[in-house]
Amino acid sequence: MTTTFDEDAELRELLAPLARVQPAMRRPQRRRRLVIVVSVVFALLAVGGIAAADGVGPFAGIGAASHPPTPGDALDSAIKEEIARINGHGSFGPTGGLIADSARLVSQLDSGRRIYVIATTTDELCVLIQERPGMSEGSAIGCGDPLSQAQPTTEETMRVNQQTPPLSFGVARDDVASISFRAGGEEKTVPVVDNVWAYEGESNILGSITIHFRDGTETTISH
Amino acid sequence: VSADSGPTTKALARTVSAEMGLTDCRTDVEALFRQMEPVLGRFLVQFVRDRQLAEDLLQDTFHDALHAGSGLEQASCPEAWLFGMARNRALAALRRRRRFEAALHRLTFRRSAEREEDELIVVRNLLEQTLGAEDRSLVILRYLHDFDATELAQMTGLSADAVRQRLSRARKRLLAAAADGSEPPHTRRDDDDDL
Repeated sequence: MTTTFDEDAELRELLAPLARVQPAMRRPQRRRRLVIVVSVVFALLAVGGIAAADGVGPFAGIGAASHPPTPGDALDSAIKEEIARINGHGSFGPTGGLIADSARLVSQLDSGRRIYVIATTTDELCVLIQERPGMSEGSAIGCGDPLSQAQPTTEETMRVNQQTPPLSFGVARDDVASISFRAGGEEKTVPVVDNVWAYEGESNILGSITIHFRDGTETTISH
Repeated sequence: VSADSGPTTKALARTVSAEMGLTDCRTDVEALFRQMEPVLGRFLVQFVRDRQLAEDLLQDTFHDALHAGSGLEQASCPEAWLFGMARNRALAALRRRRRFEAALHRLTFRRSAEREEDELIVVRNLLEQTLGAEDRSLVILRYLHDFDATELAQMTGLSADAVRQRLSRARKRLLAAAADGSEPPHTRRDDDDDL
């Protein structure tokens, strides 16, 4: 008969590899915190406001990604390596595996950051932001349902460290012209270019944004 | 516990208790934290898996401890008091992550140089697939950091008997899952709302 003592010993043995992990250490002088907050914006559309999304699949409604793969779309080996690791670990939760070869470069920000869209094996849309070419460090990725009339843009805010302002960005449908929000006490509007909008600085983007559609309609989303 | 895993929490706690002769509360907290930082840091990595997140949580725990007023003086077990803060921070972070993931799955690349050993991956996956975050924290604190049911009760607000029951259930589920080689997803119970 197995006793609690036996089970305790067995469990300690089972957990032993975990006991060997190196401890985290505080880095009060140089925190490399990467915070990425990702949410899908659920837009309530006016009746008859928006045309149906073009096509189907993870990139539906994203014109900048609707093209055959080009050499410029290819991910760096560092990113591909990370994707292989993610797929190998199954650490992407219920999302299917990332399909590296499906990547499409949709925009490169003035800062040099590249924004890609990537499909998963379960036809989800992933948005990858690569901090620096050739490196995976500092990059981040979020995935969710493909964009739709109800979800016209992704919205992501990331802060690489405490010394730099947060970067908010999103991939929006073709029918979205711009995004506006409060920042520094005033209304800011950023255009959607090649399906991407971005703003660097403190803002209320996580609190509320207004989506301006090309047909002149708009909707304000409060989170 | 492997010999190369460093001093256990209990062994370190005895050292801390012996060395704590300071009267200023803030200094006491700093001294305690300094002594406990390695084991706290290890616990956070064990629990949340993401090293960058663990580093931030460690800093947040230090901040919480410094601003906890007379909490340390009133704590019957200073080590449990500090681990309780770290655990609460970690649970809150995991809950936030899960909420985001519910709408849009989220993943942040970790440093590419960070590679997990295969056996470590197996253990972590087993824990995460079998237990909810609350029970996972109890198992780690009990079996890797040697806190007893009374100390865990102090950290969690549960009774010591409730802690023992949860640990017993968690232990059986983990051992059964390990024996099976995998745990069917539906058997995972998320007990986060129980506390």
